[in-house]
Parts: sequence; structure tokens; C-alpha cells
Amino acid sequence: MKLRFNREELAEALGAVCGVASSRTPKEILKCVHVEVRSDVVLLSATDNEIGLRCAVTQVEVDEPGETLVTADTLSKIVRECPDEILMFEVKDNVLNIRGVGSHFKINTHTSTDFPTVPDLEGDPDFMIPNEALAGLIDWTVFACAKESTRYAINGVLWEVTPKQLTMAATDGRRLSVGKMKFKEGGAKGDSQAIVPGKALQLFARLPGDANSSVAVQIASNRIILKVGRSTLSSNLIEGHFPKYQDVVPQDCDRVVELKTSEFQGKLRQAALLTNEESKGVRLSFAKGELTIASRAPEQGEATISLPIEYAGETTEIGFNPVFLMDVLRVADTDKITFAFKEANRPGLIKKSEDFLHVVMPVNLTSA
Amino acid sequence: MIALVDCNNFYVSCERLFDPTLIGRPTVVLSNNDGCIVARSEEVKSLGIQMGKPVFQIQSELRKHKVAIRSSNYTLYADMSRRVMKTLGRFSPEVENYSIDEAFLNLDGISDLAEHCHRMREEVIRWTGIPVSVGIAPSKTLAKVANKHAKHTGDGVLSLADKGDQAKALRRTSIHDLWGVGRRYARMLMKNGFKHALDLREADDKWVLKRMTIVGLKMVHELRGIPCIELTLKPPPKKSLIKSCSFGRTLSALGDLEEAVSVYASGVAERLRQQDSLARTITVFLMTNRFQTEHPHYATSATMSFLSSTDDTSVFVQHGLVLLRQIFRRDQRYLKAGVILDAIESRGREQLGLFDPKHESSARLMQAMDGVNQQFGANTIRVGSCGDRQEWKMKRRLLSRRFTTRWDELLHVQT
Repeated sequence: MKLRFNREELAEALGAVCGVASSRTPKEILKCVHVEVRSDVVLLSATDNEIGLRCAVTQVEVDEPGETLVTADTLSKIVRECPDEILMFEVKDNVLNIRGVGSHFKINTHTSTDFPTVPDLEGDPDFMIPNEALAGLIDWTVFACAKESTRYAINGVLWEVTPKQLTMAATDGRRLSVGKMKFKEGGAKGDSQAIVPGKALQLFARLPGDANSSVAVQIASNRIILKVGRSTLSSNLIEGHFPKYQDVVPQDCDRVVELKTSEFQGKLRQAALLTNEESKGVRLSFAKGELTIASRAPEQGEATISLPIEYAGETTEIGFNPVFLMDVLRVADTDKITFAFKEANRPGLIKKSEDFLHVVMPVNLTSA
Repeated sequence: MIALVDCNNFYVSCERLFDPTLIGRPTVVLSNNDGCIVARSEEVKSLGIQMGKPVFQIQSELRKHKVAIRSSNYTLYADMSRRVMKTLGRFSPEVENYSIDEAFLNLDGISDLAEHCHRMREEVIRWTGIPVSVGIAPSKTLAKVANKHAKHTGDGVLSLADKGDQAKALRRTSIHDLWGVGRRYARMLMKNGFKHALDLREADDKWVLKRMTIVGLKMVHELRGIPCIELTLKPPPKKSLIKSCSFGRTLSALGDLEEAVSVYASGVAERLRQQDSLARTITVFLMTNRFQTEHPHYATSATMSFLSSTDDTSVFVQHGLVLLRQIFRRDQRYLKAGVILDAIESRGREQLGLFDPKHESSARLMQAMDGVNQQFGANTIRVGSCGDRQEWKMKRRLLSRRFTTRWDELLHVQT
């Protein structure tokens, strides 16, 4: 195996695959990146046995095709630290030689025969979706999925596919984010459902790719494959029953207020300065023409922040964890959001548009 | 002014209270599993037997000096501690229960401090039988120093209200014995020429801040008589609760470990309810004996979060067992297990959940269970997986009776 890489393109691809290769696995092979050199392209692959990622690098000059397996972290650091425009790779006697101007690295390689296969699309995809739209759905949902819940199904994002629409939903039991997108062209082959691990979607969102390109999606019984640009990500699906999220979207929120996203976010950030572990909630008081956000940290002090709003309903107080509210405002890319509610201890409903909604449960205020 | 009241050789004093034959006889109390010495009578201290010494290493010495040995009886000590603290409450409206055998009292506004503290000391011994020492000073750190020296005065009370007395006491206090100075700081301070507490009191603030952070600077100010550490009258609810104990023998059967995890999960859940809190995360851990040399030491843990916070014993036991089965390895012999509850919230301020089950019946069940166990003794009602025999429990071969909390273990007096 012998070739020359454009270092910048290689570094970008390695940055992506290194996110998959685990540094904390007892299996050495899963710490590695598989380098497969073909006549005009190099495929870099990594997997943790749950998620697999393959990135193609095209700015290469191949002298001799071949394959090798090297520790991803070491390779990535070397490529990142070298200032050269071109790096030369050559494998001799199970050692990968990397040469730049005035630099020469020798890295021991591993046997590549045992490296697990990273799946690719098989046949036509189930549907195509604009990269930007999918990124928007992932952004809106993935932050709300659980991390280590006893209900494994909520440790991922639910994908509900119909011929006309893709819906994504995520919850950690305290908040729920739902986003929908109607297919403009083509649509999906049929109905399907999948729970995709949050980590896989976060990795996908970080992949290099053109916002205007399309993503090919294929969902099998236990796996999803997403292909965008020169990258293909595959992930095992999470088994289990996702809770019936439609049942917890409140239908009776009769008090609605429109809020400027960045202003509300800023005021929340101010109020959150005087919360702590013990008093983590902020008290939102909606009154005629004014929203007051109050917080209190025992033995530190308290804050009262107000902002003008267009609201003429009954005065209502609800407590929320400000972090939950700021999380959703951070991904709301619209100037305004609507905030609908009913009363204390009932969920709040935040919408950036009709297709993007977020339900957030309050903090009990009875002994605050 | 602040007083630190410290029970003298507390565990030994509790044992002597119900077994007068121990009075005057060298006595030690052992740690869980009868492993190390955790309390010594004055007679044992004068024999030069060190605190924390593994008992198997000094068996012959203990025999030679006819040292009485007791397993630790925390039920008895906790109840005696409660009685001492209650008595102290008559002498100050502000009492911080600092540990099982120590309390800080705010004595502001009391004119004759020494007389007040002597009366307090006499009343504690009259009502509870526990001897205490009292140190009086303008700050907590100085009160600690005062208390240490009070143990060696004839009447058990020492006041460091006077600046001159403070300097004398600090000169006689080694840097190693200072409250807030651990082994690492002690080494560093010795290296920099600070041998006694008085040397540290005179240290440059900037140097202290740089080398010992703001915590160290507060300590130095306290040594100068400027109170920086306030009394904690209502301890904040614990953010993490743990129940863990070594077994009486190593275990390799899953059944035994299931019993242990069920017992620990039940115990930690009860403590959670006592502080009126709810938890959202549970961790179970297992470890082998780190001192055995046949196999490498193995320690493992697993964590889970719930959809919503809970204080329900059955939920903790059920998920604790799931975690245990995830981490259990048949080829290991375990010496210790534990259950940790995290993400703790106060009831009434908890984050509500989208899919919360209705809690009313669970809350009533837990209330009934705690009520019965309080009235009729711990574990009268328990989760079935806790088992009956619990043969894995820690060794306490020399355990005294729970004289003050169990009807069937009361002291019998024959007339």
C-alpha cells in the first residue's frame, strides 16, 4: 500500500471516523481505523460494533492499493499536527510509514482481517431527504433523548416514516421534542419505525457535508444506514417500545403567549444565575402585559427578571428547570416561539412552527 | 462564642454504660466485620495501640493486656448520640450535630461560659451516662483545638476566649492535629517550616491562599479568632446516598448477592425517605478483596436513571437487581457490594415527569412500611428478595445488645 493524501481532506475524514472508534474499549481492533486504498479513492472506516462510519477520501494519488488497520487516535493526532499539504503513506512489514517534509512517523499496524464489516446501502434507499432538513430535525430532537434510562427505548430518537412524512420524537421522561417534515419529492417506499441511538445522530450531524445535498436513508429490521456526500453511517437500532408520545402532548393549553426567542433566552440565563442544585427551578409568572421570571438560591440571594409580553389571560405561575427551557430555545432557529400552558404542575408547550413542538414538564413549586 | 462538645471515647463509653465490668479495663471497639480498631479506651491508648490497627495483627498484645473487645453496635451508638444531642439542646438553641459524637453550640449571649459548660457537662453525664469534653472559643477551628486540650484538663472544660490562652494552646498543637489539615497539607506545611498551629496562624495570607486555597485561608482566619465557618443548623439534604458493607465472607453465588443488593437498596431507600427526598439514578457496585493475591482485584459498577424521581423501595430493589445481573461475573469472589442513589431532589420541589405513574398508592405503602418498621423494629416488613437468613452479613461476633431500642434486648436487672 502506497499513496499520497491531501492532508486537509484526510484530517477532516479522520476527525469524523475517530468519533466512532472508541478509546475505552477492551478490544484493540475497535480503537482502530481501517484504511482501504483503491485505485482512485481511500475508504476510512471505524466501528464500535453498534455504530459504523465510512468516509471516502478522494484527493489521493495511489501508487499501490492495499489495506491496513491503525490506531485511530494516533493516526488522527499525527495528521492533525503535520503542517504539510501532502502526506505520503506507505505500509512496509506491517508498519505504516507517514512522511511529510522533514517528518517520518512509523506506526505499528494491526491485522485487518478481523475488522468488522461496516455496512453500506444495499440497493435503493427507502427515501431521500434534504441534508439541511434532516439536520434540523436532529437538532430539534436529539438533545431531549435520555442518556441512561431504564427504559432503553428512550435512549434514542424515534423515526416514524410514512410515504409522505418523516416524524422524529425524543424524550427523557421530563421533556419531549417532536419534529415533522413532509417529503417534497418522491417520498418513502412505505411505513416504517425505528429508534436510532442519540449518539449515532450526533455523529451524523457532525459529518462534513453540503447542506444542499441529499441524504439517502435505508431502514432495515435492526439497522439504519444514512449516506450523505462521501460518508456512510450505519447504526444498530434500539429495541423496545417508545412511549406513546402523542398522549402526553397537551391539547388543553388555553393560555398562549408569543415570545422573542433570544430575549426570552437571555432573561432565563439571567434568572438561572441564582438557582442551585437545591432550588433549580425558576418561577415563570405570566400576568397582563408582563412575564416575570423569579429565582432563588438559598443563602445566596434571589433574582426577579421581567419582560413585556402580549398576554391578557389569567395570571399563572409555573416553575421550570431553566436548563430545559434554554436547551430548546438554543435549537429554535426562529425569531419567535409560542409558549402555551394551562396551570402550575401541568406541561408547557413550546412551538417554533406547527411542525416543531416541545413539551416540557414543570418543577413542583409546592414547597419552594 | 462557640463550644465544641465531644463525647469521650464515645463507642467505648456506650459499651461501658451497659457493661460496668468494662470500666477501668482496656477496651476496644472494632469496625464492621470486626476488622480494625475504631475506638479505644484511655487504658488502650496508654498501651500505645494505634487507631485503625487490623485486629489480627495485634491479637497477642490484646490477649496479653486482657483487652475487652466489642463489635461496633451502631444502633446503640446512634440512639445514645440522639440522647446526648437532645440534652445539649437545653443549653443552646443553636446546635450543629457535627458527627455521631460531636456537636458545635452557639453560646452567644451567655455571661458565665465556663459555669454554663460545666453544668452542661454534668447534665449530659447525669442524663445519658456519657462523659464529654467541652472546648470554648470564638471560632469552630479554635473550639476544636480547645476541645482537644480540654480532654487533658481535670474538669473537661477549656475556654480559649482569651488571646493569650489561644496562643499557648496553638503552640502546643501539632500541625498534624489541626482540624482541616490532612496528611498532604501537613507534609507540605512541615516542609515549609510550619510545625505548630501557631506558626500557621502567623502565616502570610497570600502564601496560604496560593498553597491552600480559600479553604485554607478561612482556617487561618479562624485560628486568629475570626469566625469564617458558620454553624450548619439544618444540614442540607444529602445529594447522594450510599449503602455499602463488606460481607462476612466472600460470595460467588448470585443468590447471595441478590439478597445483599436488595437489603442495601431497601436501606438506602429508607434513608432517602427520612430526608423527604426522591432519587432518579441508582448505581450498584461490586468488588473483590483487594488484599487477596490469588486473582487480580476486580471492581465494577453499573448505573441507571429512572423516567421520574421516586422513593419507592420496590423500584430501587427491582432495578438494583437488574444492574447486579448486568455486572455479575460467575468467576469472581466478591467481598463488598453497595447501592448508591444520585440525582436526589427534595419532595415538593421535584422535576415532574411526562410519564409519571400515579404515586399515591406507592407513597401510602412506603409510609405504612416505614411506620411498621419504626414501631416493631427494622425489617419487620421488607421486600421478599432481601431473604430471611442473610448468611452473608458482616461478622459481628462480639456484638453487645441494642439495649435502648429493642424490647427483647433490654437490660435485665435482678433484685
